[in-house]
Amino acid sequence: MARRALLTGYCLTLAVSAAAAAAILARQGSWPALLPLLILGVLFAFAENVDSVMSAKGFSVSASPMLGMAAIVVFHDSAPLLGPLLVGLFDVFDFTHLRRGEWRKMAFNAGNFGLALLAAAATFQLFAPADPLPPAALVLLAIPTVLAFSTINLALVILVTWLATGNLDRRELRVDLLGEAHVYPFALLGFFLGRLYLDVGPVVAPLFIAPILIARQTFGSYVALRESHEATLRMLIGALEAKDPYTAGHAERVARYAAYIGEELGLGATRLERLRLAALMHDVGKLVVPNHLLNKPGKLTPAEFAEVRRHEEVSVQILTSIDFLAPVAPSASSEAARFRPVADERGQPIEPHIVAVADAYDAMTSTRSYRKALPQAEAFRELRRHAGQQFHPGVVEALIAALRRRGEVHGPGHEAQVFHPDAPVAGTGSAGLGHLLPDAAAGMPAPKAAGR
Amino acid sequence: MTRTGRLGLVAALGTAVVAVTAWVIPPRSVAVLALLATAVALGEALVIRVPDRPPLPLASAVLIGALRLPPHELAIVVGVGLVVHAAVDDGPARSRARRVVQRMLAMLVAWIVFWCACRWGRSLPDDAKTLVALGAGGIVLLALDEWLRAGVASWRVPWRERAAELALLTSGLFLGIGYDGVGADARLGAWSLPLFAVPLLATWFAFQRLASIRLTYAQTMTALSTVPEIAGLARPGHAQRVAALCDELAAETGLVRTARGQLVAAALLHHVGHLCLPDPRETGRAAQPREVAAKGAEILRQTGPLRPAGEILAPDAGGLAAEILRVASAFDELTAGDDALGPMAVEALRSGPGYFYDPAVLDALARVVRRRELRGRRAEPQLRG
Repeated sequence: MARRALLTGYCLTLAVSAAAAAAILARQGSWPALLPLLILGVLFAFAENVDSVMSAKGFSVSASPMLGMAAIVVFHDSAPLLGPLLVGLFDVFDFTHLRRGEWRKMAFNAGNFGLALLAAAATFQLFAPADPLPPAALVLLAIPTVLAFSTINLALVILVTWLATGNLDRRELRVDLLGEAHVYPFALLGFFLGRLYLDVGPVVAPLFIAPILIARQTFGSYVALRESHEATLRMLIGALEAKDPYTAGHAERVARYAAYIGEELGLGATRLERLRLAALMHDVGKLVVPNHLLNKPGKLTPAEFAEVRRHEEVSVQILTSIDFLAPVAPSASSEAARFRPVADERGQPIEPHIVAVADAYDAMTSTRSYRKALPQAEAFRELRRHAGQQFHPGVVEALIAALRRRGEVHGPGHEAQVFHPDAPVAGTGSAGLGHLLPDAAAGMPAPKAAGR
Repeated sequence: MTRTGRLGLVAALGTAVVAVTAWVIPPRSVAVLALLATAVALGEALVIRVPDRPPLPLASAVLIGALRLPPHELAIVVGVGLVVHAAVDDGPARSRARRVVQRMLAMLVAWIVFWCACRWGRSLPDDAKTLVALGAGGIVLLALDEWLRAGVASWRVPWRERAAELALLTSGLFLGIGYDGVGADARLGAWSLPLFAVPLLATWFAFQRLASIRLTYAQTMTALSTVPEIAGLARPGHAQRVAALCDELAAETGLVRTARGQLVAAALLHHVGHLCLPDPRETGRAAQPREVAAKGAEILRQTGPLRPAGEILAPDAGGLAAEILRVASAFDELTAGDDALGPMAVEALRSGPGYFYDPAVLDALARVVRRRELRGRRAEPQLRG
């Protein structure tokens, strides 16, 4: 509670000191021209709103620091410190925060940007030669200016992270530092934009911003379509899977566990998306296998077994026909997903191993026609026992760590629906594949302890 | 010629061009012109893909910006940029050459329009004149380029689907103004190129992602459509043929665009319900088409974004889209992909007892079949040759 008050105080102090600095500067020096202030300020606020949409998906053009830097050049002659500071304060108009009533964030952002831009503007003044500013000089001037901007910005952000969470994650710190590095090119562009604004007039600003707006709009449609695609696929697979009540919800759960593992292993956004979709579709070939074979309680004849085995081939074939998923098509094949210590250390995609582990884990912790669900601890033990032979050891540990961190428990008593309450307690089977007659096992791939 | 050979030829030609230009115009501009020509060549390779329309190269923006160059410099930038790209590009030599000619032609007309607008706007203030003239030239360039590639049909695209063109145009204006400024001494020169490239590349990236997810979506639907065929419940290729025919019929009957996407999805997945029906080997009787459609509709209705497709697929569904799907599916059942059987199948659907198909859709089908027949006849001699 005390920390919360401290956080509020800190955010308020930032906003108030930025406002106070503005008031003092306004009393001392001249007031900046209204038109450029409004144009740059509105574009700045707008860019910040755009940014919050795009950067959340791992893509950012950092238009707001760029416009702040443009303000430094534009107000160089008239209001060198007050102009940039006021433009930074426009950050208060962040509609995402406004809508959610996150006024603390609004105060922090406005104060942070105002003060960082003030520091940058002061540094710029210190080093700037007399007018006019040649483009080559701007390239050099951007270095100390960005340094000043980033130092203040980072210091304030680190402080607020520490106040908000109580500890500093070293990994996040490194991400912040690397993120700051990409400010330089954008700041330089901002300088050029400012120069151009001085030379040509306000018309350059909308000409520059229009494509960014279109990019944002398009990116928004992309994100919407991507989500709708995944939702469609999830629901479609779910509905089709329902033909076999024992495995209903299996694909979605496997996709979820696979995503956990992928995040734990630090896969990038695109690979995570690919992994989720591949996991969702890993059993799609099962749709071509008749139901009575999938759930045959007894043993399969060799002919039946061959028919059942065909489903993996079909799944691989279907994944391969989708360009985006083709690189991870082996995820649907149990042969490719088998861990081979030597070959797998270099260059082989890890996705098939992730899907295999997620699949096996879900198979073990859900009730099937041939046995009851195993307790989670038992499933973890089983996975670890086969790690290094059947499963990729790193992937197994990643799943266990991810589930423990999320506090998720699966297994008996934690299933959404159990279709077979009187399933035998014992018996490890291959998910939905039943057992092979012993005499047919010769010359066939051995049925595995768990998994497909 | 191999790619390496072409690259070598281009390098040699480029050196010759640079040597000659360096002799004609001052060397400082040569570097800048080389930069602009490179931007054109790269921009030709980076294209924005929009569905149902020819791809839009980013080079258009560079070309619009370059309209303000003196004519001989403009000619060098356009010529070198386009030829270099054509030399390195893939594809048949004839189509690459045609493309270069098309682009040069569009650029020539755009430049004439730009020049006339400059003359006409002499009384305007400098910056307004520049903007108007560049804008007019840019619009002519984009429109003409599209007309040369896709014909008049593409001009019917609604304005709000022209965002990519707007981005190219504004970026081009920005480059044109930024490069030379407006007054005599106000210019950023080549420094304006990176500034101009950022929003343009952001736009390109966004459209790239959009195009890739569209492709993935279409491929996923197509892949799922093959599952009943692999399971032996439908003829191979049936779903895809029906979907293609539905798309053509939708265009022919003027079905609204949003419904068109749902119709194609319904067509691709119209046998998927079969997978979830009890196995005939167990029940002893084959599934009825009505049951298959009902089950499919039930599945699609559960699938949020595809709910409208489910409504189209439902056995008693009314409406144009449902009629189209019924006709297309029945047609493919009769022809099984053999276009030669088309006219006969149309007659059978018209006069067949027991079923009633929408006459308007049947008329559209007859037109599509006739068109396919003509296309087939034209294609045949080429196949033999």
